[in-house]
Amino acid sequence: MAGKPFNLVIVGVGGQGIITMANVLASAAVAKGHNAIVAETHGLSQRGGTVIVHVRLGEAEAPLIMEGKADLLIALEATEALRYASYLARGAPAIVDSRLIRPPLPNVEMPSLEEVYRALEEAGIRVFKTNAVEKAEEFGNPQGANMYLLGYGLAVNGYGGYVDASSIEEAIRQKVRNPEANVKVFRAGYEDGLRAKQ
Amino acid sequence: MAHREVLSEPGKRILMLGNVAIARGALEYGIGFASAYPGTPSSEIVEALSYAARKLGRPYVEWSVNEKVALEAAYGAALTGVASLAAMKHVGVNVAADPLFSSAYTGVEAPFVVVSADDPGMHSSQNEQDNRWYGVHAYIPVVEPAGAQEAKRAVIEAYHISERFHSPVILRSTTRIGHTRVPVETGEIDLEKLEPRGEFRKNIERYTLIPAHARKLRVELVEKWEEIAEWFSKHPLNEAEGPEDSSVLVVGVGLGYTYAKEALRELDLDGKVRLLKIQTPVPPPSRLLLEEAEGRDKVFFVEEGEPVVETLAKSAFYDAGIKARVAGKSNGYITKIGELTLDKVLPGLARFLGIEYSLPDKPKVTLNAPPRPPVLCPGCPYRAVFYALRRAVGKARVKPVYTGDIGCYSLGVLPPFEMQDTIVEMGGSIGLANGMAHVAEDQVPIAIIGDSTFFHAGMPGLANAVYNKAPMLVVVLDNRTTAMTGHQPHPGVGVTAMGEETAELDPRRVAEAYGIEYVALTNAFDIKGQEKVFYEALEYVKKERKPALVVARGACILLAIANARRAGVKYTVYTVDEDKCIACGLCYKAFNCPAIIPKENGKVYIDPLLCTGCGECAQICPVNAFKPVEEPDPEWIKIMATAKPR
Repeated sequence: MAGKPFNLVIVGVGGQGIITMANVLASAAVAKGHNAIVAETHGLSQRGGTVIVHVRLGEAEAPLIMEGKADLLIALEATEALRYASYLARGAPAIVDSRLIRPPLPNVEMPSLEEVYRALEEAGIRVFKTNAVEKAEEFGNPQGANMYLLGYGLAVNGYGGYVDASSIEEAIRQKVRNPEANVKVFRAGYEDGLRAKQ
Repeated sequence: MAHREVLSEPGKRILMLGNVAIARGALEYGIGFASAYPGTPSSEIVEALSYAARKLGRPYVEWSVNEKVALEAAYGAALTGVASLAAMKHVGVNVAADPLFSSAYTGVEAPFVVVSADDPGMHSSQNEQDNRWYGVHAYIPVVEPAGAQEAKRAVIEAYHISERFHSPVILRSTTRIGHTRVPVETGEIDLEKLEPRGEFRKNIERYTLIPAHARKLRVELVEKWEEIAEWFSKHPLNEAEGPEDSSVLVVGVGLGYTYAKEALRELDLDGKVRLLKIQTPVPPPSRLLLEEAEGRDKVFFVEEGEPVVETLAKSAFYDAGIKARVAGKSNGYITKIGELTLDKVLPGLARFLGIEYSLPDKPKVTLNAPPRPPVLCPGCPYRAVFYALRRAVGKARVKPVYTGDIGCYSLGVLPPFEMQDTIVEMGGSIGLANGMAHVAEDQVPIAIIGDSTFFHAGMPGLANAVYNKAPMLVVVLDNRTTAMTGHQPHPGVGVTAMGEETAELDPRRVAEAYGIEYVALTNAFDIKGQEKVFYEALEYVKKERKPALVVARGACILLAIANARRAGVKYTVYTVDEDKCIACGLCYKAFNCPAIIPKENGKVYIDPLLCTGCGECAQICPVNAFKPVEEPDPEWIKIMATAKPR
């Protein structure tokens, strides 16, 4: 299937499971016979620092997404959406989780969640607001916030049609610890996403 | 990390990290030996090979003490008739440069590939050097894959080139090749070809580089270089696409090809101008470049790093009288700073071609994100070491110069500690202190070096300090692993890359053997205990004007957690007694554990998702407001001291 690649940036803080999330999505696309390119952050930057992972599905060549060209941004930490919003294409949505992680530096000014959401919306971005950690906790799996958001994203714009729910669930079973618990969280995210989109 | 996908069955299409694809390529070609010192962005190559070796019993794989030894070991194996690989990050090649240059002169018996993983953009490095220049400098051919999607093929071709010319070959990767995941088609792995056995055949005129021999080999080397350039001009790794009569030629070198291709797509020129993919940048395939540039008006180069091929091609064009205008990084059409992105390539290409182009419209957010540099993890033993060391320095009334080094503890450069006054290279802590100790008036150098870094490049500096009587305090931060690069074992922890038990080298015993009189060991998680030892050590250095060494030992908390999980041991998170907390701010202003979060009223809470149960906060709080949720398991306390990588 030639055609426009789907460009996704996933952002957050080192240790939130962002690489796993990207890996699951890309594996699902590859299992369906498509191409995928995932540019990751490893090493030094992983230690609680800011993380951006570029996921490109379909006929893409280069690993990095150009600013202004992402079809979707998923932020596992709200303020990180501010840092990387410039990757979004005009009219493309962002899924921004309510989790705020204060950088452990003395005297850091931390914006409130309301300020973050307002700033993104004032820039013309359609923001989907999520509570992924709480939702994942409802399934006794607070580490599953990433899978919740993966499901939510599928509902919001389908990742360009390169994957579907069953291919992602299969990839979760192959790549993630406690697969069944994570599949449940993924489904919950998908359903909440569908509701929010209406 | 295991990287199990490196052993996926043949005939599949599997999502793999570029570094794992490199390892897979080496296995499919058939190597018998691999060595490395870990370094981002190279580490996963030998991690994946280590996984394969444990499963298959071959090839032989080792974590060497440093890059020089890794390169020498693989070079030695290749001289003994066993195909080999040495992998390192770009600055590691500086450490290994001496044998690298010699390897070009002697050549090799069996194929030998050195993987140099460059880090444009400096995601995890101190500089942005482009190691293709090493190829030019040392007369070693360089292969550079056009993205992770070509990495497996490129490494296999690199071995064929090495085999054909009996020359070492550099495989130049970059962060966006090694750390990019793509689908890879798996081929067969032949166990026979992974056999790590060979025989060294004496050849004195070739393998002993005394001047009389080296002079003859120099003649051979220069002649061979021409032959290789000619071979590369018809090598299938390089190919041209698009109309032959195009007035423009775009040359995409390595990963640069992917950006060139997408830039042309974006400008609606894909298939309308000539595009040349180069994956053998050094020596540049001159005849191919001349043939492709001949008769065209403009030639545009896109390459990751420095304008290496562009510069060399320009010189060839001049000699051949080619008049085409040439642009790229050599003349500002693409910036030399940072890694390639389409945002950098597109405007330059459009300008050169005289096309109107403006970058896509993007959202402008007026609120800034807070700064978020990488930090010491919650529960990192090094936080306790820095805290205790700072107090000891104050108490001993010394003016410290904290010479720092490369590892997780480099993060001690950040507030609130700011206890890394220099960070330059592996081993530089003790190295620089050797000079400062003799010339800095009233200041005491405190060299802060990690365990793996101590074995890598700290030992010669320490021997020098003893020999030349350089007063300094050396603090070895021993977290029982090479942590920053992903928890590889090292000579101090008693396990090899093959998963075998081995001797544990102890920095204390090294120091004692060197003749250092003040040598001590502390528990890195025990703040008061180590403060006392640091104080004594500083007093000793002041009084005796000789070096002292303290090993602060405590496992990387992430490693401890992984060990505990396997042993079925749970750690206990800590919590805050609100009534006791006096909102003094010590724990978030002077100690700064990421799990301790201040509230509006200045009091704090602990984020249970971040807390790792290290118990350091309970030691620093003046009013004992921190408490474990339940009594910590003694097994957990033991694992914090003894955990080690597998």
